[in-house]
Amino acid sequence: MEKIKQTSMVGITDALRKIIPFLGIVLMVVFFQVLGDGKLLTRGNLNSILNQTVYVAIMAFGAVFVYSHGGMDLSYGGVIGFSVLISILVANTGAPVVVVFISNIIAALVWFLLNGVVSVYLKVSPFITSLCIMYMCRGILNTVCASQKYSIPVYLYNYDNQVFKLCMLLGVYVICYLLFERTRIGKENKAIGGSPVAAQQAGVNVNWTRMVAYIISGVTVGIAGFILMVRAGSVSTSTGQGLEMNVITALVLGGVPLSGGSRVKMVGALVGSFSVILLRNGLIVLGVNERVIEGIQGLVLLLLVFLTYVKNQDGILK
Amino acid sequence: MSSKVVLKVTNISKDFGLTHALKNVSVDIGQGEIIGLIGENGSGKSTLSSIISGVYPASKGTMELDGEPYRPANPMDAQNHGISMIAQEMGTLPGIRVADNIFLGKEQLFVQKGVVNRKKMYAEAKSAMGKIGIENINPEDPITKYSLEERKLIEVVRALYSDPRIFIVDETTTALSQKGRDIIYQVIRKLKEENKTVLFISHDLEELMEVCSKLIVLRDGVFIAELQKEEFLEDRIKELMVGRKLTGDYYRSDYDGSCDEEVVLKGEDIYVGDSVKGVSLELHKGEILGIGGLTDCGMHELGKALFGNIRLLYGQVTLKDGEKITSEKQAIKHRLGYVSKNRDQEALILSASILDNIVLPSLSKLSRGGLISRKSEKEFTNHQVERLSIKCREITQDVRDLSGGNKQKVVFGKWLGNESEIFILDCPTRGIDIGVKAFMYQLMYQLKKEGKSMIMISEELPELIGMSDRILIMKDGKIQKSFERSESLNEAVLIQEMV
Repeated sequence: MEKIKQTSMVGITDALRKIIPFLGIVLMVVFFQVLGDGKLLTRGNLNSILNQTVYVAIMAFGAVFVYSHGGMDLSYGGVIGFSVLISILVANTGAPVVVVFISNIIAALVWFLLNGVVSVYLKVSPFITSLCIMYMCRGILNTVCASQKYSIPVYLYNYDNQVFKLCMLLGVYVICYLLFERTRIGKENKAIGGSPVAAQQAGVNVNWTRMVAYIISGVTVGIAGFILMVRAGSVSTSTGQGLEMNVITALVLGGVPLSGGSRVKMVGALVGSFSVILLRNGLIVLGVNERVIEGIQGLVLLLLVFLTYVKNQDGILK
Repeated sequence: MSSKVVLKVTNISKDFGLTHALKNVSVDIGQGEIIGLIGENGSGKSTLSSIISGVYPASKGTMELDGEPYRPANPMDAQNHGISMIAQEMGTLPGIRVADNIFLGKEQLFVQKGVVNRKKMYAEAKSAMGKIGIENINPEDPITKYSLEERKLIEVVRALYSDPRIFIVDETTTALSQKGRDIIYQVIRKLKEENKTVLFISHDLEELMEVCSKLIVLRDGVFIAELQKEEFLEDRIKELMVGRKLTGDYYRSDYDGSCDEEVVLKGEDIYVGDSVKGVSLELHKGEILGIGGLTDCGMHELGKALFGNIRLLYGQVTLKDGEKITSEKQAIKHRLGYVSKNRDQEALILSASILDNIVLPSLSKLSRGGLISRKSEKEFTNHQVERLSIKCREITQDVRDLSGGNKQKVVFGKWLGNESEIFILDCPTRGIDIGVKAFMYQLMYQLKKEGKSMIMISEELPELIGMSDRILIMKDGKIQKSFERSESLNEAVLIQEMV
């Protein structure tokens, strides 16, 4: 069988694929800045963009591991809500901040362990598993928060500052970047995304490696939960709602193929997270109704998935 | 041997992006001829046959069928013109029955009062298969019940049912055992008697020389030569294909089958599913142990079992230090390497780069304090790319774009990089052209000299005889007989034990 040997064409499209997410950000900034009469790049608004980006990005960093091995996860919004709920309950017992932080992580991790065990070892489609987990978390939030509103103790508001959040963002990014791009865990997850059979024959413990991806993702959702908690200050039935959509849009806007494999890059999650928040924020600046924004985001996601599908011979979704 | 020209191909070119797969190829295909198309990987032979059978259109050039312009829009259109192809990598549709596969798109033939008369369809399928000597396939069975080989034959039945004037067989025999090949040869002979034309594409030069009345040699998309039966000379054809004189011996030239006493890998009473039934074997240091048999004799499963890739029902595989092999990971840790028969599905990640593929088994070794530097990965890969002279633009290019031979070199690079001591090679030269094949044999011999041990599972008898120190012939999941290396060993003796 003849192999189609593309020469320099591949080089060009590869380079383009890498640049497009950055170009996207620049274009959006210019677009919204001009049409929004300069309201986009104000100090207040930039703060607001950073605030929202931090927890979406931290979740996206962990999500990269799961998506790279060909997994799929829709539970982020539900699980982060649950994590916020548990940590606020813990904080109200007067526990020190470290304990609150750890409770965030454990609360999220429990769900991700369940998610991993059911998807990886019991072979239930991760799409279904994570959808069910999202509903279970929502159910718990709806039950607990229906009649009473829980708020954080005042001392925790100290952590709602930009320096702390930037440090967390960078810290988690560097650790995730190294884990994903420079260690076996990341490389083996990418290999599984390319071909589980070939990875297995190359000595990768496929199930365990997938499980580790879920564990990492659980930890990042917990960290994001802490940041969301100090930002929001309270928990309600709608805490975290719709965040799964933001995480997935972030990955796609960052050029991460949702089918996984070797083209998944950690930097994509970082760039994409800024893109998705910029998109939402920019539309608000233009005065678009919040409900309409959801619709626009859905459309943008679909369009991008479609466009990358045409470009990428593996398809963005298997 | 001049016969009436049925298909005249004039100045056909085909470009895929910037790649020129075919350049101004002109051939005349005469009635009643059995024409062999031969060339290395990437020579354009599959492209040419795909254009003739309507899989894709030519970029330039014309074709004439019986003097009429012929431009097939798709394979169905080609079939309506009497041109049918069995493709290298096309398949049957899973989930439906054998008969439905044979009569795909021709169900109208059996419609009575608006419904398909299945009884009639099954009977017709049975007789169509009987015509070419297939008796053990039940048309009512779901297709998935049958092996790859049987499905290939079902495809042959389907292609023949439309009674083609030109029948194209593309690399089909690679997937077939001797019995399956015999059926194809018989079909070809019968078509010749009916004065039909056959275009036969294969890597196996001996096969082509035996079956064909004319050979067309392509190289790098260019027409090189046309040879009549009386001009067939193996060395001459190989030279034309490769474009240079091949020097030295193809296989190893010594007949010294002796090796170290030390046993490096031992299989005891291995049972796997219903394919391997109580196999015991010992592999010695520096030995090339050949395992041959029909494709369903259990040898492929045995190879996986030795590598820990499938669970054993019974028995065990142990290393020289007495440790049992239970998983691939552990096997690799003990310096085993496994080259799968299904290169594209199991041995390689096609969408990943050469680098990603080569470093994968050796990641632990490349880690320094848990981290793997880009530089060490590159050095590691470059070393293997140079050692194996893998032809590529850059080591970060996708493995998908490489030719079959270069892909196989990448697979070898994985295991050489991991400093494997024991290689389990399942059909290591399958679908690889002569140049790379010779390279692989040299490499194997060199590894043997370095004291590495190899198990070579193969469906090609000349390769087993040419390379092995010892050959085990398997039949029905058991070892039938063992042969020592000797000059007098020939294919007939081995075949007798296989069937």
